[in-house]
Amino acid sequence: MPSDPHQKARFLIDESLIAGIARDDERWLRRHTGECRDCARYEELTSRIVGELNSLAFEIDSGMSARVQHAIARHALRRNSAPHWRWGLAAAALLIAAAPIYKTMTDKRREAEIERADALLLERVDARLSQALPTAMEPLTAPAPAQTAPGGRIR
Amino acid sequence: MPVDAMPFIEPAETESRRIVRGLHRKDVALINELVGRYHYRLVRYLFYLTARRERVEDLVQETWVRVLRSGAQFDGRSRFETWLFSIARNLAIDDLRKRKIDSLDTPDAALPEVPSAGELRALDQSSPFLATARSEDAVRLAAALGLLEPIYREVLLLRFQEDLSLREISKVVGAPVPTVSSRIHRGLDLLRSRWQGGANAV
Repeated sequence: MPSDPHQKARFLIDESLIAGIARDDERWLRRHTGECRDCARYEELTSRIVGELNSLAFEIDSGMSARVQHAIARHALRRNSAPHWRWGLAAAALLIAAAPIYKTMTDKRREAEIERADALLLERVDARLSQALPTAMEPLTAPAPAQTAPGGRIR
Repeated sequence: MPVDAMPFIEPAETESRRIVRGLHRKDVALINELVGRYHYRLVRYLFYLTARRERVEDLVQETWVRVLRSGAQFDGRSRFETWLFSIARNLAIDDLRKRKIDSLDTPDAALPEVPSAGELRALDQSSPFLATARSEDAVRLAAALGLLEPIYREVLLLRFQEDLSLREISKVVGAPVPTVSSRIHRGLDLLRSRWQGGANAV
């Protein structure tokens, strides 16, 4: 707050219009402007300017409000029709995201089938082997008959 | 509190809640009602901010479309007009930046998000205000306003024409309350000296 009484008064005059002042300051200001003609004139001029600012007339195009409302309605309509293509876009995104998942699942199923076929094949090979092997081995495992050399001598 | 004092608080609260609810629902009927209610003030604010009558209608439309689109952001803790003016102001500044009008001033380093005096000055064409003046005092004020730096003109108009509090102005212009206060003091000083200068010239 300025220490010079006139500066203080002018600051308070402005401040009272800008943000309001304390009751004590208001009383002091009334006393000061009652005695100081310059500050009273300053206050009168400031009030006049602020009053004029407050009442500045302004003419506007009468159709503008309707045009603005029309623009809002148009925008709202566009917004409401937007969900159709948005859903389409979401579905496409879902499809794109789902493709790798589907491929992984198919690959896994195919791998499982191949494994199952391999196991079956091995099982069958095993079974055949277990049947064929003893028959093939028979001549080797059976006791050999005694062979007689010509002339009645045992070799 | 006396019982008969209650209705003065209750309707305002209800009104604010009604606006919040309507904006969250993107209620076009409510927005049209708000257009009717705030149209004059919004046009006047944008006109005095930009000093470009030909851009005002587009900016007004964009402001209301933005209100419709971003209505969910309004929480009702401040008055609706504070939010409305801050949207309008941002659009006006964006519009200026898009048009790539070169700034003649250095930007305010403390507040980078606030447009520089040069940017705001570039919006200024001073003469349109005279066309709106109706009396001798109004002519003098319009001339003085036209010569005023837009950063001062803006806060003066928000305070004395739109009757916004310092805190509300601070929200609209994105500057701290003490900065807003000192801008209004400075703006009044300049307006007084130009008003008196104009009077002496006459």
